[in-house]
This record gives sequence, structure tokens and C-alpha cells, in this order.
Amino acid sequence: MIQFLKRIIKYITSTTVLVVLALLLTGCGTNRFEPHGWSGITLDNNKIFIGSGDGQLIILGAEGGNLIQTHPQNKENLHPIYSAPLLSNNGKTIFYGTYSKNDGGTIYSLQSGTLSPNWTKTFPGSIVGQPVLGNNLLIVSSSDGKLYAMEPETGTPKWVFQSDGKLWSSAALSEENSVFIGSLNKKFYAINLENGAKLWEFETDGAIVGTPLVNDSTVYFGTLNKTIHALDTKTGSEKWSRIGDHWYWAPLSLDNNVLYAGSMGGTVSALNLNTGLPLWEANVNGAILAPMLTLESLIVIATDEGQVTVLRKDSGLQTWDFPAGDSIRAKMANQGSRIYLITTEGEIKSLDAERGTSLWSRQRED
Amino acid sequence: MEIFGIIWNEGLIRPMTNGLIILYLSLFNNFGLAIITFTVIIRILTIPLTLKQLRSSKAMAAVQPKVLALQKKHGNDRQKISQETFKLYRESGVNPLGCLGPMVVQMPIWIGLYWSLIRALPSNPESLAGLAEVLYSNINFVHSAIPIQSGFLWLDLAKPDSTPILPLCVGISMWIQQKMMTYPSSDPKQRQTNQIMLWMMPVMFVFFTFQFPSGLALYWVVTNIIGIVIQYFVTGWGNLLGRNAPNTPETPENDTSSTQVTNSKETSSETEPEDESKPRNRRNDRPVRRRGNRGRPNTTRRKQK
Repeated sequence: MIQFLKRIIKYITSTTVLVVLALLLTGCGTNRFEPHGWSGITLDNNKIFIGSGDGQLIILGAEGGNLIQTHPQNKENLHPIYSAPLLSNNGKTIFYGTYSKNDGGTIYSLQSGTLSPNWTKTFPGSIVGQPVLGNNLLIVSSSDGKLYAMEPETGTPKWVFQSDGKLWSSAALSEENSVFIGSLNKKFYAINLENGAKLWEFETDGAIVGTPLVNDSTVYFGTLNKTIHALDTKTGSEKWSRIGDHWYWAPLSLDNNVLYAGSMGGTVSALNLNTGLPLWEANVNGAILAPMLTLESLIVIATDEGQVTVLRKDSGLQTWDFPAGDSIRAKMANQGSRIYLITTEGEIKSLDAERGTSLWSRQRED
Repeated sequence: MEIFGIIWNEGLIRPMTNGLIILYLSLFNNFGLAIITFTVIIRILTIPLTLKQLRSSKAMAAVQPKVLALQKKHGNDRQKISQETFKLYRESGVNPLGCLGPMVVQMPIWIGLYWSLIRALPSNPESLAGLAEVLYSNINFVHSAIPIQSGFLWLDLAKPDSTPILPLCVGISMWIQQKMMTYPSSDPKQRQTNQIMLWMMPVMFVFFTFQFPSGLALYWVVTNIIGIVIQYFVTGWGNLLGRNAPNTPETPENDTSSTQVTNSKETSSETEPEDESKPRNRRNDRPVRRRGNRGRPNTTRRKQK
């Protein structure tokens, strides 16, 4: 009997060990596919606001990266943050959303001085995109496919728009009180900001992850099917489209009537705003997921390979590059000629935009 | 380690993930059908290996009475038993590790499928970004498939089945296949091992099915069903409908002296005794040599009771 039990234990142990080892060994490095968040940087009043992988809001000094505040102190039951925290126009309130596969997403509203909570609201779907403010409404996109509009002071819901797929991008607002957002289910929507009614929808052939860009009467966005679309904001009719080399994850940037697009194939394109025809193209080392940063005469590109490359806006010629070490996927920020960025490993760096040298770096306290 | 990673990704994960997505696009954007078709293709490609495994198992079962006889003959002399058993295997043209080869080949396939499913059905921004690295950038249409719809029947193929239906299908199909594959043994130890294996594997895979994405479990169910069909055509229902254990030779001497084995389509217990004097020029009657038997089942000649 004992021998029989021994044999059973031996078989269970050996089979389990074999299966688990095989899965673990072959899955080396798959930890990077777990949700850790990649919160971007928001700058205000010489302070850096970032979210941490374990769901804390962290405030650092922009001069040297000194830790000023964190919220909450207790790290239990927190979830990763993907988007950059949002500051209200008067700078008194901070909003940020969290990502949880099982528990849904939560939006936090805090007082920026004391970090004491105003309100929190939990949704069935996780929050990936940054909340946006417009027309005295806080617009939150969620993985449950819904776009929520609520009063920023209280979190009271005003309207909800149901889309066809997960919403991972932020919404973009136009001056005509329209909200634009793309879904992972390849549809792009225009919604009335007043009441959440759908104005029009445009079916693309690729998932939309990047935040749309609105300029005058045109809304621009890229898809994961390598295409950039330019649509009329009023009718949704396509003005032009352009096929690139790879996925467009990073939002498009606009400066001086030139549209800048970075692909996951590492191609940076400067496009004519009206035609989509390229003015110049340049290649950088690695996939571009982080929104590009436009400075006076330069454009800053950070890649998944951890490379920061600065190109001249007029020609695409490289000015300098800087190895950040780890992947960069989150929104960068700048204050004058200082660039601030954060790696997926939580290292925050400040670089001199003129010389490409490091001013300081510190590890985010996760 | 880096080379291993490159081989793993370029040789298995990327082709498998892109192949699954191409099947998904070809099969009405249905990832469940893509997995089923993928499994059928894999099983068709590995049929020679499967047949080799089945025949090898069959041949092993056929020589078991002789092994048992050797054990009885040599008592506690383990070294002698090992030597004689090895000799018996060699002379019978049986490779004790013959059934492991196909398993070794199939292991990377289902582990690769597991990771391909995780890659192809991203559930968070990190895994979606990771998918971009896996897709072939020069095959444009695979990019239009993203994100893949993971619904199939009542299942979300990216998540474990929330009902016990799929785990039960995995367990039952695996049990049937195991039962068909298990050759009756006159060795009590072997019988005990067979019993453990018969129940242990299905129970463990039922447990795994509760943990792993249901897409992988769907692969297991389909591969088991195909395995059952192949097994049926090779050996019939086998042990599923009851099969007698092979007879133990009356005397060890008889067995060890008659180490010639014959190929047979039938299992050892069903083999008719043959006359040594008969000419053995028929294909299946040729004495088995280690080279050239092409993995056909071997059965030992035994004295009939």
C-alpha cells in the first residue's frame, strides 16, 4: 500500500514538475506581458506627477527628482496605472485611472495639494487611456467599451456611450463640442459632448489604440493595421489615408502644420497635413509606443528599445540620441529645454534637450 | 540562452502564431475553428510519429511476458535482469524509449501553442504590444486580424472555461485514449503503473484545464479525439472493450531461448502460435531485425497454454 502511494506521489510530482517547468522555461521573459502599467509624466509647477506600477500616485520635484508625496500610503489592493495623471485647469484636482483585469478600473479624484481624495469611482472595465476634461465634464474611456462622462467635482455620471469594443485610447475633444475616440474593435466614433449621442462612426481595418488628434475640421488617428486616417470632423468622411510600415500605437503629433507619426517599425514620418504625403522619413532604433514630444525645433522620440532620439523637425536629421537602458512607452514631458521620461522599469530621467545629456535620474519607488 | 530564445521564437512561436492567425482569417474570423484546424494539421503531420509510438508501445507490451519471466528467473540479481532484458529488447527489435520520441516532439508543439495563444489573444496593453513583435511585418493581412475575437461557443479561448464542460471533455477523451493505449500486463507492478497512468493523466489534465486558457484545452480535446481515431485504426478499441493480459510463459527457459519475434497486426494475446519450421517469407512473418522493421509491431512467440 505504501509503495503504491509512493508511486502515485512520484507520478504526480514528476508530471507536474515536467509540465510546470516546461511552461515556465519556455516562457522566460513573459513577465513583460503581465500588466505592470506605464504611467506617463505630467508636469506642473515644478512638480512631476506619475503613477506607479503598483497603483500609487507619486509626486517628485522636477529639479532633482526628490520625492514630495505619494498616495495612498498603503499599497494594498492597488492596481497598475497606464495613463499620465490629469490635472484640472486650475491645478487643484488630480485625476487618474487604474487597470485591473479582475476588479475593473477605478478613477481617483484627489486634491492636488494634500492628495486627500475627493471621490473615487469604479467601472467594470479597466482604465488605460488618460481621462480628459472638457465642457465641465470628465471623460473616461474604459475597457468595458464604454465612454463615461461625469461631473469632475463629484463624479456624478452625466452620460454613457457604449461602443463596439474595448476603449484603450484617450478621447479627443473638438471646439464644436464633439468627442472622438477609436476602439480596439476597429471603429472610430464621433460623439456629442453634451449628451453622449453618436454623431457618426467610421469603420477602419485596424484596431485603434492611439489618442486621436483634432485640428480645425479634421481628426487624425493611426491604426494597428499600419494606416493613418484623416477624417472630416463633421461628417466622418475620409479626407486621406496613408499606409505605413507597421502599427501606429503612439498618438500622432502636430506642429506648424506638419503631422508627425511614429510607427512600431521605428519609422518617424513628417506628413503634409492636407494630403498625408511624406515630407521626410527617418528611422529610429525600436518600436515607438510613447507619444512623441515636440520642442521648438526638435522632435523627441523614445522607443521600446530604450533609445531616446532627437530629430530636427524641418529635416528629420538626428541631433542626438541617448540610451535610456529600458523600454520607454509612456508619455514624456518637457519644461523649457528639460525633457522628463520614465522607463517601464520605473526609472525617471531628466535630459538636457540641447545636448542630450542626463541631468538626473532616480528609481520610482514601487 | 539567447540562442535558445531565438530558436524558440523564430522556429516555433512566430510561425505558429502567424499560422493560427492566417487560419483564423481563413475560417470566418473564428479562432476556435482555427485551433481545431491547426490541431488536425499538426496531427496529420505527426502521424508517422504517432504510428511509431503506437507500434512501439505494442511491441513493448508484447515482450512484457518475457521480461517478467526473466525477472522470475533471476530473482534479485538486478544486474543480470538488466542485462538479459536489454538483450531481449535488442533481439526483439524493441526500443524501450521508442514511444518517448513522439511525445518529445509533441511537447514543444503544445507548449508553443500555449504561448501562441497567450500572444495571439492579448488581454492587456503589454501583451498587445508584445504581439507586434511576433507578427510578420511583411504579411500585411495578419495585422488586420488584430484584435482576435476570442469567443467560441460558450468559451473565451483566452481564459479558462468557467464551466466544467471542457475540463470533463479533456478528462474523458484522455481517459479513453489512455485506456485504448494501455496494454494488459501480467506483471502486477506494470498493471499498477498502468492503472495509475490511466487515471492520473486525465485527472491532472482536468486540473490544468481549469487553470489554462480554454484554447489550449480545446487543442487537447481535439488532439485526444484524433488520437482515439488513429488508435482505433491501428489496434481497434484495444483495452477499452476489455482485453486479456498476455500469458506468462510457463518456463523462463522457453522464453529466453525463443527471443525471435514476429511482426503481427494483432496484439500479443491474440497472436496465434507459429511453427518454427514454416517458411517465413511473408512480410509480417519475417524475423524482426533491429534495422528494417520500420517500427512495425513485434510480438514474441509464446507457448500456448
